[in-house]
Amino acid sequence: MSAAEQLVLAPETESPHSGEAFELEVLAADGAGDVDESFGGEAALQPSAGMVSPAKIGPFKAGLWRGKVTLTGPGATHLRISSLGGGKASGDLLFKVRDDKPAAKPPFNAACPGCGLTLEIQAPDVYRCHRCGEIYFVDRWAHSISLKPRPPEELLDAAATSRVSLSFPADVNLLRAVRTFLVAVLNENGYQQEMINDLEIAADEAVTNVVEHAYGYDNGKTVFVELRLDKSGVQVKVKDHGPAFDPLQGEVVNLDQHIAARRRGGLGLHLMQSLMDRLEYRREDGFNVLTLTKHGEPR
Amino acid sequence: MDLLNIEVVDSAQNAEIVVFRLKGHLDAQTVRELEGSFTLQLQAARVRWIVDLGGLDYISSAGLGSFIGVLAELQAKGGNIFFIGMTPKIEKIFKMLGFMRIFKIFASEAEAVRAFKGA
Repeated sequence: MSAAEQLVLAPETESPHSGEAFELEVLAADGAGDVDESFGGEAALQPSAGMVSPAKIGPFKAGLWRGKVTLTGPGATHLRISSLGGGKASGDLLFKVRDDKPAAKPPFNAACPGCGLTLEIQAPDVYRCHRCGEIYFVDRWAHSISLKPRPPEELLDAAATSRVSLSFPADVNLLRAVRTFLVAVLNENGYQQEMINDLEIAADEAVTNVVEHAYGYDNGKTVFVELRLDKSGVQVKVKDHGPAFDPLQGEVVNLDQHIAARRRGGLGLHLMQSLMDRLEYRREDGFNVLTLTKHGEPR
Repeated sequence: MDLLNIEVVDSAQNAEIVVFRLKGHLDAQTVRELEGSFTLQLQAARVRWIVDLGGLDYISSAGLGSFIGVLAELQAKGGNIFFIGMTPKIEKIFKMLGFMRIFKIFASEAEAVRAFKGA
């Protein structure tokens, strides 16, 4: 018997639903189409469109591999398979990936496929788990799809960013808990203490402004905070669905006038501007979005 | 655990001077409690204040604004706020906001008390 030349894909279905795992059998066959029972290597999977998980399968046992595979769609994709290491066996099969189920309504919860940590997701995207480091894609049906061992090249840049989001009622009694959460995430990701202190205060100021001004202390309203962490720094987005208001247009603080007028407020914007490298306000889809950016590398 | 612990005592060195010892987190939630303590002292016509920041783990603009908001009234009545127990973390914020020009900071309660006597 000669060495394996073909890898024959035999899926349980050729029209799986996007993001849902299905059974796949792969047979290593020689030029004559007979199973090569000596084949015990690994193989890489590569779709012509969408994503596949896992991207590497194996080892084969007696020329056969069987396991769960997930494709993302929608539409037609040629799934190519090629052996890794010495051999040159390959194969492909056309799949029609379906997307006809109703999508989940954001925000929704999705679990990290590595450690099970549940995050609240605002939008389908690539995420890096801040607890275990797993890189995964969350689709619009709330499926978490592991991108191990290596995500497609075009997604690597995006995945270098870790995202964490949370939402909570507009209540100053929750400020301490929000700060504790933020500091824990930044600590786990290895940013320097002074940078963490600065972000803690600036984020507190932004959230406090939303609670007091955008929502007028109405704790039936929701504040949204999104963190993006990468090797160049941290971005904190604070979002509210109050009336359009650009906090960056606030007056410049004159301390002497403040004292004379016995004013207490107005210092928050000044602090955010001093502590952050960049502040940006946008009105987006009915939300006020204030983005705080602080540069600094994690350890 | 208390978010903010406020201890209000007469200075051992001069009973006319009130010392506020703050421990914990001073933010938009806990500042209400501090402003309540301030109001009680103002109502008792006690206007010479020393605020000990040494136990504060965190302060935001809400807390800082409470000092600014009460300063004019204290000064109009012949009083003031002096700070002791300054930490590097809070000093950075004081500098950013220009508070070092407005407020006096002392290394100890004894020094702050002496400054009131000289005033």
